[in-house]
Amino acid sequence: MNRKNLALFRKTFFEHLAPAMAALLVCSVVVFGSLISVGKANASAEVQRIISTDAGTTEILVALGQGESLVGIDVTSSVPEQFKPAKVGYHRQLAAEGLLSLAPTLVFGSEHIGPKTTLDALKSANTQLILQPTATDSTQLIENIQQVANALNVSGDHLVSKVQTAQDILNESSTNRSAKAVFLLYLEGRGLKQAGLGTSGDSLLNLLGLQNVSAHPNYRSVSAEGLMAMQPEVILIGSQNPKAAEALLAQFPSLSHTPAVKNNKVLIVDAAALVSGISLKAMEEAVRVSEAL
Amino acid sequence: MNSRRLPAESLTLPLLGVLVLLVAWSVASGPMKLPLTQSLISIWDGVFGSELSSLQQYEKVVVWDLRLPRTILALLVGALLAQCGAVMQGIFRNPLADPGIIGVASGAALGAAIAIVVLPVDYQYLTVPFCSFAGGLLTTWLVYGLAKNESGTSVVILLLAGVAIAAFSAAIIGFLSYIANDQALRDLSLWQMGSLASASGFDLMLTGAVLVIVMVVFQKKANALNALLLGEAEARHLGIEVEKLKQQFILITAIGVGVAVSVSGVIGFVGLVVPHLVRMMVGPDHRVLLPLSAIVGGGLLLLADLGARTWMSPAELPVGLVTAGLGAPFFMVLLFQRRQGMM
Repeated sequence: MNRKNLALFRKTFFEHLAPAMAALLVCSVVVFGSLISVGKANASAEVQRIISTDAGTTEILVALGQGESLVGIDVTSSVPEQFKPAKVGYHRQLAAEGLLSLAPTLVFGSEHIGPKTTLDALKSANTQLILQPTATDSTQLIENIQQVANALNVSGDHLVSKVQTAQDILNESSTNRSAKAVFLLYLEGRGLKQAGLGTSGDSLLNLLGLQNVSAHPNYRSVSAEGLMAMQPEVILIGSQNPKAAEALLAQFPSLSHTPAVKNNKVLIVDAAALVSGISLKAMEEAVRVSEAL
Repeated sequence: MNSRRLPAESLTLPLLGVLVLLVAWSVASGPMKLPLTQSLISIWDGVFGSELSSLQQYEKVVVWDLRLPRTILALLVGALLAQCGAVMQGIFRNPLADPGIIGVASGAALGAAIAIVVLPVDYQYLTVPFCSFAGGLLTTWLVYGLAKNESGTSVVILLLAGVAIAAFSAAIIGFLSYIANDQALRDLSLWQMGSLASASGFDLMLTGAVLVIVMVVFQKKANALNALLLGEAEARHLGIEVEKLKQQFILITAIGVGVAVSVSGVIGFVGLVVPHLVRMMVGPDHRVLLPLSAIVGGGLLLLADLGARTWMSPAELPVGLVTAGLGAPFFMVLLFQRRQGMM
């Protein structure tokens, strides 16, 4: 490229691009320098358009007969097939415009909902946002049910009494139990993960009055030898495979020397029930397991 | 070969034109269907404080608070990454070099991993960008320190040190993800796929300012970079302080990429592909290559982000997946065509 062409190039470049860049910068400064005050958009719609970004809340909504009003759910939520809400992605990385495009009137989420920019966008579009703590026991679950019911002006009494009945059954059966127990996620072919303190698996063990022998937080890989050392009296396996117990013993035959296996106290729990803490389904599973113990 | 190159001055205006169209397209499209002209008018309203647009308030929020910031951020980050990539390929005289080669990306990823897994969740919006930036600069400094000796900087050792640091960072990130809880793990993997979704005003100003500085400095040194293409010894004979030049470039690139990564996570492939694309069009003259790389980089990332937020709507795809998923095959096709042309 010769000198003249280069000079010409530089001239065109800096005359056109530099002002454009400057304009963009000015725009970006102005965008956030100015606060936008948003007048309330008319939100007195008769029918609610609900987005639920928490599996537990979605379950409550469906149980309260609000499945029709669901327009969006997160990836962990599941609904009966007759409802067709859009999938809005992972609840900590929600796309603001994606949510707004569903024109929601009400958005439910757990304390994990995010990012903040998305929440701000929802607020500025005058969407009602209800955050619920993830339930770790039936008390919190009942509170969550009542909050959802109140927000939608429907009665949640039948659900609450269902949870209370389940809790009563558990209270009666779990007296004088307090056996040493582990909750395992069995990832077929890829080993085992043990539920530590504060996990959904831990909450389930508490609900059953069992003593979680793990001392670490979160889910962690555990070896067959590690399990042998713990000598659990009850083993709960979170899996969606009804044959998980047999598969586990086939892969780790040494586990047959634990008290749990000897006394036939190895039980399968539907892992989907524990995606978001203690849910309605988790209460049912707890009652089922408790009766089997 | 030379006859197939296009003169730069005939490319600049069309490229800028395409860029402006892309910006308009980006501002006007998304999961929410808004009319193009009203969207553009609402931006006019936002800048000049008028009330001409007929959009609802919440629709204005979508254009002004969601689409415009990320459009601008895509332009800035894309331009920054592409420029840094062009410079890295220049000083290493290695077509495989990308901005991550000096350890910035791996260090930044490590910093972000520490912030996500170890530091409190409530302050993540502050700690993640800060730690990733600090991590990027620290590893760059370490890599550079390893490669420096009395007689200058060895390019080979620089590259090897970069690889070693990347492996070490990967090991620590692996450990952190092992002890991380499910949420942190998910956040970590999403961060490593890059996203332009949460562009704050501060991010925009920071990235914009850094881009301007980087562009000005690089443009001033473009001649020296051209001389360096001949070889380090030859450049020295031409009166260029090669060692000082390399130091300056590594520092500036580390800052540029560090800022880009801290605001948007890891976005791969832009820094590698864009300079090659531009070089195929206009040749290796850095005086032209650098500014055009900025335009093409910004445009390409904008296009990728447009795809990222519309394809799976209402959910959103991480933009780093789009750049790599589309960039890599496209690049392979280009290489294939080029090979055929040479034979």
